[in-house]
Amino acid sequence: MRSHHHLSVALIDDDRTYQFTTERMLQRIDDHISFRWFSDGEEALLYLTEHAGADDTLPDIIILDINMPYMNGWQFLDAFHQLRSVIRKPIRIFMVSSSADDRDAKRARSQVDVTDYIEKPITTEKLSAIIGGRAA
Amino acid sequence: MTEAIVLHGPNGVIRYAAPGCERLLEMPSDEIQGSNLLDRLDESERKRVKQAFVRCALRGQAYGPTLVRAAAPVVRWFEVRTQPVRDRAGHTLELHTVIRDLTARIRFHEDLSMREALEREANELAAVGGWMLDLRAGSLYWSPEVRRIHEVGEDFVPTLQSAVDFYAPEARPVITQAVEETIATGQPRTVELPLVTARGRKIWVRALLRSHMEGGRAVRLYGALQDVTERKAYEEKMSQLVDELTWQRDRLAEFGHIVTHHLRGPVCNLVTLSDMMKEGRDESAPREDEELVDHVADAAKQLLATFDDVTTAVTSVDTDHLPNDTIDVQDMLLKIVTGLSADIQRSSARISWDITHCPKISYPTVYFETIVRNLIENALTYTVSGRRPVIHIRTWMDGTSPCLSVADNGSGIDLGRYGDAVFRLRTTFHRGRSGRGTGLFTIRHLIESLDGDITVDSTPDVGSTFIVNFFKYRPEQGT
Repeated sequence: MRSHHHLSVALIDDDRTYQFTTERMLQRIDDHISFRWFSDGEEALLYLTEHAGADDTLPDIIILDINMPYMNGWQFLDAFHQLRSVIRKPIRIFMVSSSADDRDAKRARSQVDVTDYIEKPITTEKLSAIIGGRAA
Repeated sequence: MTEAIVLHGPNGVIRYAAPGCERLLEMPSDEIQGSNLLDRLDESERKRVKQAFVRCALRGQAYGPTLVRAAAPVVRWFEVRTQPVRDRAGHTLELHTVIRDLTARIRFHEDLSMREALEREANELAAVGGWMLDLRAGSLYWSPEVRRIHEVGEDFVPTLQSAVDFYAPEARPVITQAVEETIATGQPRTVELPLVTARGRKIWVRALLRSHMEGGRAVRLYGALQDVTERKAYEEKMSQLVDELTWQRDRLAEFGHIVTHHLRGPVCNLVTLSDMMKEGRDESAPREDEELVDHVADAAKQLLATFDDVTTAVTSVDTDHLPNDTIDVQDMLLKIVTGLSADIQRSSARISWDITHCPKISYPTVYFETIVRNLIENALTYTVSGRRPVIHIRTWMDGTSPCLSVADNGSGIDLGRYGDAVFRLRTTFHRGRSGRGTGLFTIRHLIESLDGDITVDSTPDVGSTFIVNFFKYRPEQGT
């Protein structure tokens, strides 16, 4: 089953239900996708720092929530930007939020490290688009 | 000034007129002789003047000077002065009358007093008065309006010292400095300061100071003084209104945040879950279906909890009318602690209080209980494992506003990081704790709706102190 690279997706979101649905949806799209969940930015950052040199353990895609306790999405982005010098792997970051506020979308898309902004609810189509191109 | 000198009989018929009478009498010079002087006077005056002429002729007495109204249509005033002209035997031959037109002078005085009256009224209306300080003589003059502003009578003799003493104690150094600077630099100054009138009324005045220089030195200080109490009160009201609007706007922004993050989030989850249930029914295991249902229930519960919190916050905003109760703090603390006894025993927490400086607080009982219970519950929740929780409650007065603090030795909050988020809905500061973050949000709304304030002082791993100032923003708190 190692005919192609197994895509690795990391979700940074404190919402357990959202974590559950995203994982199930990804499995339905492609059950080879590896999935990792962090409940806040700091947890994720810790992991990324520890695995900065090991490309195969780093995610290809990060789905990042804005509103989280402890370290929110914006704070994570700031810290992640500092890590760019040690992480070689090109990681695509998608910001996802339940906010229907245009300002959040604008701000997210203006971040250099952010590939795109997706508004919740997440759907199979949206997820497929996020991992599309790399999944098959 | 125009003048006419005429000789005439007691009946007023002119026998001779000196040159230059035409203007005053408003007649061609050749018509004057033979005409009647009385005709040049207003009808209403003729009888009186004629009688005077007759008396003058018969008794040989002088008449006038007297003010007489000239003939219509234009209003003019003559000053009339009549002397009898007698022969050697002492018989009156004719009357010698000098007429002066005083209209211009009377108008001038009328205008002047009218202008003065107008100025007085305008000053009174604007509550502006004038003053002057003669630096050489050391005397101070106050206009009637300045006296009225100070509520002193006409007999009050102001001095520089007594004028300064009318200002509120905190304003005296300011006005003194303004006087000194105006004398020293010659530059005009304007100050707005509180003043206490002779009747003890506290008002606000705007004082304008100017100096009159002679030979490079100020010899006189003068200026205006205006009562601006009303405007000040208005400004105060405006600023309160702005504060209130800003507060409301912030609440609205916060409500927007709650709606997008705390209400929309669970709803999005419900949408996704129901989609998955529809899509996945045939191929997924029954086990997964069960998990989906559990998540649906979780999302619904979360939604309900948020709704409840928001409802409490929103309804608490409109509670100005809620009556205050006199709360016995000791009784209330005992009641709360009894209610929490299970938690207290489990954590073997030590709770103490010092309420001697404010044993009774006037506040709606239900709110007070909610606020204090929440703060104690928080202190019991965010503890450091292996450390016995120590909670101390204190009450005191800040001016007329009662205050209460709850201090703990718990895990504390990194205020550098969360400072502004402490009192927001569902903010969790403690990893691995299910802290709802709801309590602080709700009680902040309760406190603010009654013009109070809640603040926190905290050091991570050392503890937190929450301070409630119940009526911090209430301008006049009873007596």
